Amino acid sequence: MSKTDPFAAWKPVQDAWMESWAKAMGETVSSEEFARTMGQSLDRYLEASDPVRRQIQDSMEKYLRELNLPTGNEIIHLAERLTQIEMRLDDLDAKTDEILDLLKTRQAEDDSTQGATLEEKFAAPPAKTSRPKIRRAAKPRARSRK
Amino acid sequence: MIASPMITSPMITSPLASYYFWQKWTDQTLRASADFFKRANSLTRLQAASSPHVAQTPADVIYTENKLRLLRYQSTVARAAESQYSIPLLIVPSIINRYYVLDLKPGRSLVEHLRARGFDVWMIDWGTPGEEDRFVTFDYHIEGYLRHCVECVLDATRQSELSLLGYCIGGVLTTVFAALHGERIKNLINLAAPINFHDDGLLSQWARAENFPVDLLIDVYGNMPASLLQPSFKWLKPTTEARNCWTLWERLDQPERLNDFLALNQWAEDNVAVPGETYRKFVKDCYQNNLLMQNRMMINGRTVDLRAIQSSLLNITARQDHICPCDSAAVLNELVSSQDKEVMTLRGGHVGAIVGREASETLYPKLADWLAARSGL
Repeated sequence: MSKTDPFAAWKPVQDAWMESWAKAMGETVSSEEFARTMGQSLDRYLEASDPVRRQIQDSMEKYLRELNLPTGNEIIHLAERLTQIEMRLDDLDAKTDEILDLLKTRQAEDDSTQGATLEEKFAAPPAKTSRPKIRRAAKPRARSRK
Repeated sequence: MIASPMITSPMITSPLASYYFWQKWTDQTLRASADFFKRANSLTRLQAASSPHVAQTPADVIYTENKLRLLRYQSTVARAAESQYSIPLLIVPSIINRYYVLDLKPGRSLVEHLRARGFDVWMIDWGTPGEEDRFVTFDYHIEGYLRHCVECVLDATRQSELSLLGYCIGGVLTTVFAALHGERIKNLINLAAPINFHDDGLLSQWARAENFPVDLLIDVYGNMPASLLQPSFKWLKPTTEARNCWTLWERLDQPERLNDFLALNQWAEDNVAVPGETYRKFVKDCYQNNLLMQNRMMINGRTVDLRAIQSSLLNITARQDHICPCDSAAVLNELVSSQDKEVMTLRGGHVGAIVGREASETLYPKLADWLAARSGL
């Protein structure tokens, strides 16, 4: 640090101050009292704000209905239905792929057994080696909110 | 004459020394002032500049489901180039931040490094959940989204198993998946992924049932809003914002480092909401009841038993990680049945150790070497 640089003296002071502030704040947020207080504040805020929020939402819905405009909930329900439709289309897609795979396998078997005797043709088919397509897992149904 | 410091001082006794002293002082002051105004000018221009470009590694969207996108990263050499290794790698990021932290910018991208090393790299972008996603469950993230992505990767690459890499909560998802569907997982890599949630960390303390009314929160809000998640992480280190301001000021005259800082800051401010039912189960089962470590977590009626994990395991932890303490992640190695397992402890914090300057020189090559030895040719 140069003795003649007027701003150089500020940096160690600033670093030391930041360090001590960080330490003090760190000790505060690590305390059990802080955790308990934050939890209680959040709890009280949620308990107090929920009825107000619902009232505002109900009033907005009535107002928007009067104006013949869609409400937020209606748009959310539309989005949910669109997602369900997407899922069904994906399932149809997976089923179609399965059917095509089966047809291809059958076609390949028919080609390989051309000229074979009836007994050979209707013998048990070889075990499938390809991995089956996984059916889509059931999406959770929406529950009605209280 | 009475001797005194004033009289014997060089400033008084030597006019030339005095002149040089004041000249140097004036010069330093003018230089410092010029530096100050130069930085202030940079700050003004910065406000008008566009956001830094992130997620620059080119990728194709192979599969989509609701808001989810499954990305396949193109070769850096040629689009149709084959990968050097047969086992593909699927990266699963956290569900509370955006995916691009592992592809931040050129030179700070795990994806870019692995692709350049010849791996077939895939990544899940969870997207931004909307209000309509509030009933999507944690179970569906495992048995729905993640399973579909794994099947898609295996179908596209015609392989029977793959490597899974999970970061943070993504590591929790990959660990649960590996316990339930181990036959599909050749290698499991966890980056700062908590397994033991009852530790000395602050999040463990704050999330306890008596301190955190998660049921009421989700019943009121539907989803866990990003506006509540973000401050909670900032409160883990309350002076971070002030330090960031100072760091920004110091880097204003270093364009490369400034860009790094801005890119990382953009990601840190880019939290997304978490589907309500997912968040409820994650907090109750993991943070409040610690079921995962006790092999008592249930997914779609099946018990998640960590002893069922037999794939090769690389568990990466960070020494100064205040979100996922070292031991909380490292404990996984004691709970699995894998023969080939390793813990790698890095210097740095939860994010810094993974995307900092040192990561591209230490973590990425080591991770790639470990994976290369286990990915077939």
